[in-house]
Amino acid sequence: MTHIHDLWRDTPDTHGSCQCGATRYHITAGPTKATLCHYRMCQRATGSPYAALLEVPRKRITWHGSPARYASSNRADRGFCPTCGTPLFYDFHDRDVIEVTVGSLPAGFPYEPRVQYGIESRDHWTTNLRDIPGFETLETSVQSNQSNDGA
Amino acid sequence: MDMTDWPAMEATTASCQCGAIRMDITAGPHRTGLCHCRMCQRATGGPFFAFVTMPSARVTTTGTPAIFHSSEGAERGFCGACGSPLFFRPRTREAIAIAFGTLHKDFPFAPIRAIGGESRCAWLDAALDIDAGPTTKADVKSLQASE
Repeated sequence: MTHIHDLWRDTPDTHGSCQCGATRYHITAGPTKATLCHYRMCQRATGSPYAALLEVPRKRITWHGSPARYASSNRADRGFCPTCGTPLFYDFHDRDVIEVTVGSLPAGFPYEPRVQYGIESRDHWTTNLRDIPGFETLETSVQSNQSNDGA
Repeated sequence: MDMTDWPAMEATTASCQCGAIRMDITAGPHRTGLCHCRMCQRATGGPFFAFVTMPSARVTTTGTPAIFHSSEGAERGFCGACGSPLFFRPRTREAIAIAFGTLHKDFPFAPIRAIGGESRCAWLDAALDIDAGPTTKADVKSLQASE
């Protein structure tokens, strides 16, 4: 069985931000842990089938701007940008780590999830992602979406 | 809007985490999909935006979503109180794409297409193979004790 400490890997110094840039953070190089959470509260918090998170020791992250906080339970807060709404973190009150969202990390960040939680509410369709037809974003698609269905 | 090949859905509801925003959606044609584009990643804090699209006229919203104009052509709604991403909507507001995670848990979601492939996360395929079990009290205890 995998020991929990085996799930931490060294990752490089990095910067993250919300969509609009009002809330940003810096994480120094060192061990981090990449996890997925399918728990229903994580689905609601991200509007998504699961939250993809990077766990970082609190002392290695520096915030710029003022993220809004929502106490999603009596144990933890969820942070988001009050201007653009980007979900930014999950923060346990009684732990010395914070978990940032993968979507707020830079595109090239070496994210490799090693463990999944909340599997009781995993959506069956997430196991078929390989089989869903995929397309790159084309300029014509953008134009057609803007004037058509918004997808 | 040409919806001739769109399947029908039953009426359903959607809401944010805290319940300040609720969306009631009537039955009718809909389309499901995923968008891996970088803006959708930022907007959800995740690897992709999973959505259900329908005409805006079929959605009745209770509460006032916060709006962010993510591009010249579109806006994104979220709950200003709890931060849940709620929807993507072109500025014409003719159609709306509701975020999957806000939908009622019994909504029969099955994405039929994906876009934004240029920024699709490489780890998504490997993530399907990660061993996983249900959340148990013992798991929670062991995680808390070892970190």
